[in-house]
Amino acid sequence: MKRLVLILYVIILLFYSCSTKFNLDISELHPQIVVTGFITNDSLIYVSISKTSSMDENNFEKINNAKIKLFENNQFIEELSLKDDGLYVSSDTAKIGIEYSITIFVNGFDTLKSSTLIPTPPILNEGIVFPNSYFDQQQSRYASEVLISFEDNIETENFYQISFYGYEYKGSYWDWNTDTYTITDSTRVNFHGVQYMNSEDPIILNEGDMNFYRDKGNIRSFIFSDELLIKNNTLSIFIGGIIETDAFPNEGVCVLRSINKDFYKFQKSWIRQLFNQGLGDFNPANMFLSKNPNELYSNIENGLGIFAGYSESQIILTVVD
Amino acid sequence: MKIIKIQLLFILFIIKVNIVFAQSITISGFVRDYKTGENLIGASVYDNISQTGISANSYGFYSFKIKKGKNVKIIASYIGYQEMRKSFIAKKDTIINFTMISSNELEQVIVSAERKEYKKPELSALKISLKNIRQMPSLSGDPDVLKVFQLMPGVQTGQEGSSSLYVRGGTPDQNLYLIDDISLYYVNHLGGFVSIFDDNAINSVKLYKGGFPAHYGGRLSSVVDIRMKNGDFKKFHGEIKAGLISSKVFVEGPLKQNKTSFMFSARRSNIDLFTRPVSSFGDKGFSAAYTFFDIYGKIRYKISDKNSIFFSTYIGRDRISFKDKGDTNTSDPFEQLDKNRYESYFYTKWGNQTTAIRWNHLFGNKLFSKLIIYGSNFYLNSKREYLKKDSALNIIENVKGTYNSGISDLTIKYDFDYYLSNSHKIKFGLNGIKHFFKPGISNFYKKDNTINSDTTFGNKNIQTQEASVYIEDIITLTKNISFNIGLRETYFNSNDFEDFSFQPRFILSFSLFDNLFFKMGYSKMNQNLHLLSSNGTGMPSDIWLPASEKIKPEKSEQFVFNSTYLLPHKNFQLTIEAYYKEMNDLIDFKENTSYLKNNSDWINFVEYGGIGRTFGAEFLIQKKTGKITGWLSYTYSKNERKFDNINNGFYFLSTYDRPHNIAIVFNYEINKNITLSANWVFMSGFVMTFPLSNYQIELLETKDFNNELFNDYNDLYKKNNIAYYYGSKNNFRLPPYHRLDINILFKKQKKRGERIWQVGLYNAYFKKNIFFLYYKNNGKDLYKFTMFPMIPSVSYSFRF
Repeated sequence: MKRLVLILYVIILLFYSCSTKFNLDISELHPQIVVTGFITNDSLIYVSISKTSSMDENNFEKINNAKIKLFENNQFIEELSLKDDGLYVSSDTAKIGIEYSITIFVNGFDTLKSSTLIPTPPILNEGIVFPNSYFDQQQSRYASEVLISFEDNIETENFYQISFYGYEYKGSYWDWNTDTYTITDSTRVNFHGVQYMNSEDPIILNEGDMNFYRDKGNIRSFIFSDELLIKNNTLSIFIGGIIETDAFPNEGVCVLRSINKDFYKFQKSWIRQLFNQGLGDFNPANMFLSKNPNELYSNIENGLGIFAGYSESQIILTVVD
Repeated sequence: MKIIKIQLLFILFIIKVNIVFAQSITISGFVRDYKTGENLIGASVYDNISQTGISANSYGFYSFKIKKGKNVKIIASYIGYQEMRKSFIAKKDTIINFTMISSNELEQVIVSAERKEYKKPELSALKISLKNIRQMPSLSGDPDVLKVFQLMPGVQTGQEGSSSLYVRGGTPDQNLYLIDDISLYYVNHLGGFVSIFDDNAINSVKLYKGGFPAHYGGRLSSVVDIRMKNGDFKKFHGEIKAGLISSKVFVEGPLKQNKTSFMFSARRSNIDLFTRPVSSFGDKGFSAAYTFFDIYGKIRYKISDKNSIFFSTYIGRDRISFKDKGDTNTSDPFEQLDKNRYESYFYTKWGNQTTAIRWNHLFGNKLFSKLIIYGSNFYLNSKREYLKKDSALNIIENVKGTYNSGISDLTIKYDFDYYLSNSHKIKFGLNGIKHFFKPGISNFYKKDNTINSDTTFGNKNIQTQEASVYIEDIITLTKNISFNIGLRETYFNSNDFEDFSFQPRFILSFSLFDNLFFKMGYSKMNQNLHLLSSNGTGMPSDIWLPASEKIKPEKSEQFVFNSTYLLPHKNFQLTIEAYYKEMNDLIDFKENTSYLKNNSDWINFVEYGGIGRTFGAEFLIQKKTGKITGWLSYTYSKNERKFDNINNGFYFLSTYDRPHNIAIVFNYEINKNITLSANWVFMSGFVMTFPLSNYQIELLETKDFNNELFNDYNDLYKKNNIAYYYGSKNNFRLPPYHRLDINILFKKQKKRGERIWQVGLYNAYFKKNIFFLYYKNNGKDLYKFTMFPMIPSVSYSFRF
């Protein structure tokens, strides 16, 4: 009898806790206009316009009848033309040092406004790589340490995005029988190659985002501010995938971008929303560890989204054995 | 300068009052239980002729003055005890020790004692008798002191089933838990579902939610003051109890009659008795277990009537472990061999350890002192190990990881109660605390054919110092007006930071007629410790951190107004209380950080300088005597937070803002042997942040869309280019929460003691309340998880 009581108790405890579908009664919101536009020097200015959607529909209606006026240093330049579904484009390329503003008119909505500046490209001095010099204990894998030297303008508040890719030969293969690498077409093409990025550099750690990067594993760029930077800096980053061994004659390339503050804030808020919005399938750990999600940063007046500028510099990494 | 003036006036006032009472004698002594010798804390002792008297302190000591040469009739009264009287002529200083006999019948005595309690300048204090606590239903079937307080106005529960207290908009880390003046940092077992406090070891418990006397300090929102039993001076007593969640044993008695006593109580969980066999059912090499235990011990040595020494200790621990020894039930030799090649172990344990020595001394018959030196330690240790073997079962790879965090204190406290006159009691004291913080250190070890590494990383250990002095003046101005003025000053020092805090406290009490009482109070509190909490529910993995130059000490100010009305004849009391509390320099995680996975300095993921504001009105109708007892409580409250970088800097509702809270508690002694108890609770649902709509981010940042590079390294964004619009933080309130719990005690007097069967039902009508929500199908479907639809409990205990 006692045993029966115990068994019944365990069964009740374990199986009566249950999951049921929950209907969230959130009243329909008036949709908002979403603007996306990342601009860089020597590139046409593209701006995408769409509407928000209710959570249960995922129907992101593109706006094809918007009027988008483009201004350079507050001077009207042109009205962007519709190139594709919800996508508008300028007729001329953007330039560094000019403030670009857009004013968007959509029927039934308040006028939307935003402006941005393309920052000066960063000065990259040197990039060296030590193949397979770093063992990440948490990931249980080897990576190559890369040291990037660059200059920061200490007079201004600057923000950066760093990433890597590789050059490889268009035609090549590895013969496992003979352990030889054969090149059939020596044209060099780029490839992302980076399977993994990590850093213990205080400049990167200071951003507080390493946990997100480590979680995901396939992040291929870091964003950082110049809060801890001096004029000449050397950044240490561990990358896996571009230069595995000397047997593969790939070349690694570092791309360092100067991004403006809006770009920086938008990317950081997006990283955090992606990793913590808690909208993935049920994970018991989230029950205690997840925090409330955050809003994406926006610099669009009367709307959502981003209109931000950047410029970039590249350097080929020198391999040090 | 102003402060010095106030202090001088204060001293002059003390001297003046002392002169007035020069022609008087002092009546002093202790009030104790006749059977056990336990202190009767708060017992009322007064002269019925001059209508002067006082309440006994936390060691049962009292002292007051009466005019020399007059007839006196001293009456000692205490709730649930027979009144004691002594008459004589006051010729010289006299010591009277009252040993009172318990009784459940004398309601008039109770009312009389209660009235004196209401006149005391004490505010927002909740006291629940142990008898009540033992009758109440509980989730585990074991009486839970903290969960009973959750049924009182102004005290809210967090996650369902949790013992964590949210007092007037505060968070669990803002509660000061004291066991015999020793502070504890983590007071829960089983992820918060069971509190560490064992009812057998407790003599009394009181919760202050505002109007804090100056002798308390260090936390913002509440003080839970628990006094342990000292052990019976005369006879041995004990209890054994077996329940489904835990079993326990308690014993107390004299080591030397009327000289030395001891108390010992131990509790152990039974959960692993179920989980071990269940977990290894499919794989005999695998086992999972969870255990917790508590041990309380105390020895009292009475050197003389004026000197006693106490030694006490508490050890409590939770441990969760998994073990996979690679042994299987399979008969397939290859599968067996393969499994044998891997072994893994994991455990996490956390707990408190405290050890204290105390000296109580009476200087003359007016100055009571207690000196305490104690050490306390809260720790969380986690270890995982992985072994890989070759076909000959030699270890070829060994990976170990550990994580340790915690906080230790070394404290010295010296407190004094000075009974200056009948209308004037002064409490003063000082304390010094050395904190040792361990905010989370990880170690990683790996050994295989190619590598042998041993790395330690994490936050550095930190040491801080804290010193406080306080003075508290309790003055009875007239028969109906009294007040408590106090001041506490705290000095805090860490590596790069110093802080002085000046904390005034004030309570005014006045009564109209004999059954209408008013009180109002102001208190300023200071907290030099911050708790980095993963979700605010009070998990052992939360990290305690000291205040620093950047992250200042938390501060609060609270205003309270109280009115109590005793309904004539029916023994009902109605209490209404309103409060407004402001908190400053609060911390929170930066939006969307998940600290357990973060190896960078903790300061990088903390928002600081936060403001909290909370206000509310509390109603309590209570019946404390008779066959039917219980209460009805209702609280209306609002609880908001504001951080510069959260919710765009606007105020938002705190996660545990629950405007409406109702609790009905009902106890019915059907007969001498059967007691029925039930409680019903209703709360507004808690708030969460839900996306109101979603939108698409177009990745257009390439040069004419032909730059493979960007699209490539933003692979993550390409796959997840749907963003969510929330509008504001905590923008949605979940449906209300309610449930009914029932408990029945069947008692029977046996030859050698009393047998008690307890049968209970938690959430008796199967209300499927929300424990948490989660998404399925990539955010399209929302599901609620119900943790406790209905939980029965049964236990057997025997008291002797």
